Amino acid sequence: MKQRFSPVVLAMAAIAVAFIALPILAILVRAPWSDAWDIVAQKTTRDALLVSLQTSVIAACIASIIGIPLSWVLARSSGRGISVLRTISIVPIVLPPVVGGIALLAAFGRRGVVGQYLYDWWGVSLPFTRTAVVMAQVFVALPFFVLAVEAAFRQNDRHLEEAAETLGASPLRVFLTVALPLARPAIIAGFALSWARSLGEFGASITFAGSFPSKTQTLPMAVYELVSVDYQLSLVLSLLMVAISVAVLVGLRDRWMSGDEQ
Amino acid sequence: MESTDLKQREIVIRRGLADRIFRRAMATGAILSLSLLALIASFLLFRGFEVFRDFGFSFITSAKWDSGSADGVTPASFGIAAMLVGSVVTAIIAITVALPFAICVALFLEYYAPSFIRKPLTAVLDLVAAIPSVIYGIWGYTILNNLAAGWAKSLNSWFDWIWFFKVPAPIFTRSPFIAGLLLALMILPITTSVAREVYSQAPRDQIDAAYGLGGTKWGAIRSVVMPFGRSGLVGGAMLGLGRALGETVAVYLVLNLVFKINLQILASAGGNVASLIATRFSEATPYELKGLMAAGLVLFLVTLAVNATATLIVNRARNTA
Amino acid sequence: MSLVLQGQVGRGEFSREVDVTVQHGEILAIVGANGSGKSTVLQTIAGIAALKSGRLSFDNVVWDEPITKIFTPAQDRHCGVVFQDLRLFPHLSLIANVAYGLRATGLSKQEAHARAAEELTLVGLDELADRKPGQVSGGERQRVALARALVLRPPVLLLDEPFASVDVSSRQGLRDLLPSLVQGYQGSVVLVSHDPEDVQALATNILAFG
Repeated sequence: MKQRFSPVVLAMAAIAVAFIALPILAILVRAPWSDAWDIVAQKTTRDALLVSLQTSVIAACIASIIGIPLSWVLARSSGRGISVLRTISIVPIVLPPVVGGIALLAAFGRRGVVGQYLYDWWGVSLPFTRTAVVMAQVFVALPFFVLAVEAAFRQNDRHLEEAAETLGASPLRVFLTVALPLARPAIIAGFALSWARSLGEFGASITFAGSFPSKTQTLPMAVYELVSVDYQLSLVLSLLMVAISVAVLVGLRDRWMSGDEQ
Repeated sequence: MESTDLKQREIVIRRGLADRIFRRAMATGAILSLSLLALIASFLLFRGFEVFRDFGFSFITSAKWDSGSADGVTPASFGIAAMLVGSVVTAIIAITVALPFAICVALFLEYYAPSFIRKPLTAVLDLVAAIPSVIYGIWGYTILNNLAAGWAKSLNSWFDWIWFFKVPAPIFTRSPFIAGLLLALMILPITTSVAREVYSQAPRDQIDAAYGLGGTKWGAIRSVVMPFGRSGLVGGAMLGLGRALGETVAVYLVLNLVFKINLQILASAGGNVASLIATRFSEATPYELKGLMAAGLVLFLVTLAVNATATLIVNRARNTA
Repeated sequence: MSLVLQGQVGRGEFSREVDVTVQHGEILAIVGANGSGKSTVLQTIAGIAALKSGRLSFDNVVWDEPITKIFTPAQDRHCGVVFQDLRLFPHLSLIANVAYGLRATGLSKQEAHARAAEELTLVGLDELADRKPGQVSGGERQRVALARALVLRPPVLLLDEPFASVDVSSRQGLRDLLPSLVQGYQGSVVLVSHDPEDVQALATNILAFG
């Protein structure tokens, strides 16, 4: 079949690509390159970077640890109840993050439904701590993990699991030696996705954890706080974030794409 | 029915301890994380309830948001009408702008692009979906704002006989129009990927038939693919709409928070529910905090309704395929 | 009495009446048209499909009986199965595939691999032990599947077209190997095959499915 392009479609596609690439290019152009290193070396920047990296990695790990069993159960159960559960577990994807944050506050705030007992009984106060940042990030990132990994478990060849069973493998062994390794590309992808989500997370963490420099202030919050004060600085921080997420996603993408094609 | 199969039948199986623990742990983990979610929604209702009770329906219909003075002389008054309208207006602008682009990119990727273009382009789309929204916010704040103010000015000079293109004062930055453009960019990836999925399911034989009848590829797409994908596309658009409704930081950075219902999209005033929550909550009194939680609940319900409708439409489109 | 299956087998809509008995050391060949339920019989015996009615037992131990709700899971039946579609684990090397069942019995990796290596030698694949299933030929894969089932010396061996893609020269060797191995531990074998030569060379009994 010889390719014939409709000029309209082609033009629109080209415009769309430009449209997509524009924000990043524009930031690249506007960024104060000569001062970039000084800015990155500033304490605010370094602290925000550290907080961001620390919380997002922990959040992605937690999302994976909770998400693997959840995806497995969702993928391998049937019935009406399960489809309701599946819908519920995906809700945070469409939930505005700021609503998630305020809901977390309603639940775990010092006067929250659960939080008041945590505080009264154990003196634990979660909001405005780094733990709160992680909680907010897990809340937002988990569904992305589940979405990726559940699909993989579902597409796993059940015949292989049956074969493992006939060889005397227990359900636990089948899960660990067959289901999990076969879903590995998706698990890596899910980890990367939830990590990227955590890194860029803003709405939920700023409402639940606040933006306290060197304590809970992550890169996105620093950008947000600084934009009206020092917009050069916020441009550089934005670039830093784009660079980190692009680097990791590109690195992982090759791996999971080659995994898909096997 | 005497016959039963493996799934339906109650089966007596004795299992080892490790397996029992494994099964129990899996199920518990799943149920726990899900019930947490349900609980959180009910916490919102629980906390915000007081505000709903105090203000009733005017919480939705009033545009006034005032936490009251500390001495209690001015009573607090909470209404989210302005923000709700702002959310809806910016989201509608966003989807109106994004949809044509999404359709073209999807058609291009699915039916025109050779694989050496398709693969990197898909990768770029995925990447863009992962770019933190604060980055878009910065871009909107520093660049799009000034750029689009010019476009807004021309729109205003040509179309100011249409009521919603009028402006009260000749200031064109930080308007719902600009926020909508920014949101359009942000929801382009998700809308495109839904459109792609829908179009990829168009019946191949019909396309080939239309193509074989001497038509052009574009003709085949117009007569077969696009009608086929229409309802699925509506679903995709609504998913994008849902996302645009909930965007916080990007909207905050390009839009002035003004508590007045503003339908003049070029005017420099607006806001949305999500940015209201994010900006107000840090200095909020306990009572205002409850108001914000109630606002969060309303936003939650609206996005849930939009997304449920979207899912329904997409699923129907998928099933009738 | 060894393996006894009497009742309705089937998956989904499909079902058929079956009456099968296999003694220790016997090789029963089931022949018949496609879609007559031969593979379903094997799956039912292995425990990855359930009986619709009737009873399946081995050495007087009930494996599957819908009325009493007794169902022994596949992992506890220790049937060796060579599936028609082989079902080798794509992410494991050939030797790890063969050792899989041994590991499940609790053998250490070292022991399991040592015994798996012997089995691979038996089917003539010792040199390919570290390849993945995707890196060897169809006939070689089939021999791996055979080795994976046989290495456990299963009391019940279920073979679904076990030599279909093995080349003619090695097929004869496997046909000679199989009965002697199974005789050695008095296993019960059910064979499904389209190849009359297989049936002739191996079967001690023949059952025709219409």
